[in-house]
Amino acid sequence: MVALFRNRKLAKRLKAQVSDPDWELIERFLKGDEAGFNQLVLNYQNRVYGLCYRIMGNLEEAEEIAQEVFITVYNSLSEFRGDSRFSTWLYRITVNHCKNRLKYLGRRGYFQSDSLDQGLETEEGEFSRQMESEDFSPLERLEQKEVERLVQGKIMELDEEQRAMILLRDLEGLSYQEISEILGLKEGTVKSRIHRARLELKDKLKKELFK
Amino acid sequence: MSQPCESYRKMFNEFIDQELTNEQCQDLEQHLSHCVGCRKELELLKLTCQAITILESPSPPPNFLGSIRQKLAQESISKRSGWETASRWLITHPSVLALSFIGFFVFAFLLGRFIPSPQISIQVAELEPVKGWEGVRESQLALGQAQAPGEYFSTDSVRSGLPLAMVSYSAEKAQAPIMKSEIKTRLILQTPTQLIMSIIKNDPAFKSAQIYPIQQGVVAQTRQWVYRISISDANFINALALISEKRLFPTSLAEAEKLFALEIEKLPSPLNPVK
Repeated sequence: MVALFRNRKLAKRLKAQVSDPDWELIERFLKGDEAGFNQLVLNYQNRVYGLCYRIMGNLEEAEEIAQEVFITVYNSLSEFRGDSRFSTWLYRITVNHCKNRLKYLGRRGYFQSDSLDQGLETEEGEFSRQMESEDFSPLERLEQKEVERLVQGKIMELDEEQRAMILLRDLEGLSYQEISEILGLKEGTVKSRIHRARLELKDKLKKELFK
Repeated sequence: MSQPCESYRKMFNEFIDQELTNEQCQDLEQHLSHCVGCRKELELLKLTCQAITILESPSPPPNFLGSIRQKLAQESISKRSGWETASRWLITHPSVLALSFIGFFVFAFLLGRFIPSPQISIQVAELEPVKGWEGVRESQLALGQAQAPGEYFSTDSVRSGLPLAMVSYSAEKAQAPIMKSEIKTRLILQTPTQLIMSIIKNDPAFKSAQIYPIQQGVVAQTRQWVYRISISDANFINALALISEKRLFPTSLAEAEKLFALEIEKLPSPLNPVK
């Protein structure tokens, strides 16, 4: 029975390895070819960095964390057995690093000020007030950049778990099953939480964006 | 919002995820075609998802890979020279070294205080009457003529020819401590030997003496002298009375000699190198 189970697990692993497009690079790295690792970084840096930025809402933090993520990958790739796809594993490391960092920053009162204002402060400080006073349909009128800032601000108002989930789903385009693997939650839980997060976000945006 | 609207709105997320069956899809579209409110809500939800999807991820800073490789290189250097760094750090911070020394001694001191060590350095031999010891005189000792009648010899007695037949070491007895602080309250004084032993344990002159019990007392061997200390039964009973009634206990052998009428013979020790 145990042997059967082991075989099945092994079979699953082998299957995952065969179907994982990154497995070749991983093997190269594990055999001592550093170029394998470099290529993995180049392949995934945009996604990891982007996700970090969207979860953290801050470029410097994103850079710092993304670097740490890849250093973790470098140091523990030998322990990666291919039970899941490499990208799933990588996303899990990324989300965990972000969560830890948020916890660390939260203890220091980093996010006490309103995150929306933070997002909009830089160039157009008047932006949010303008939005409320004038009656216009902003999606057409606003620059892409401005919409992004507003959306980012609202995403930052979600709690970190919801934020990570909705980003993995709608930004990264991952399946519910993959997200549940990344976060270690049941698929049903993930689905219902993402649905709730979407509705929440919709209500937040409705007030400002879709009048 | 009517009841059917609510049940339809619950399907919105799955509609966007394209997880509805064909039937459900048709049903929903049917409803949307005549419900403006739901149509608008669905549109908003779609826009929300889109708003996230179209978020443009910023590109990582130039030479992102380079900075990772640099960090990795630093990491491996610091790993390799961990010892070097530690020793350099200790040299630049001598106070740490000094403090750890002090800490060690304090620790050792406290350890010594709180872990009770065996209190007696005196070795106690089995009590066995010595035949022939009584007859030994100073002259014989000096000449090394005394013959040991018993079976056991300490190494010293073999070397010196001193008859110490009663010497058969008992580890258990040697371990049994009588703490100085307890002497007044918990003395075991059932025999003359025990009485004399407790007296000389108090006497600093006998600190490193070897003590051998004999019938009415002890033989104690220091580097300089061999003492044969004994007390008669009558005097022993008097001594016990003195101790229990007047709470008197002598602090040295000389004091005890007067107080308890001890009989003390003092011979030069065969261990004494000075003739």
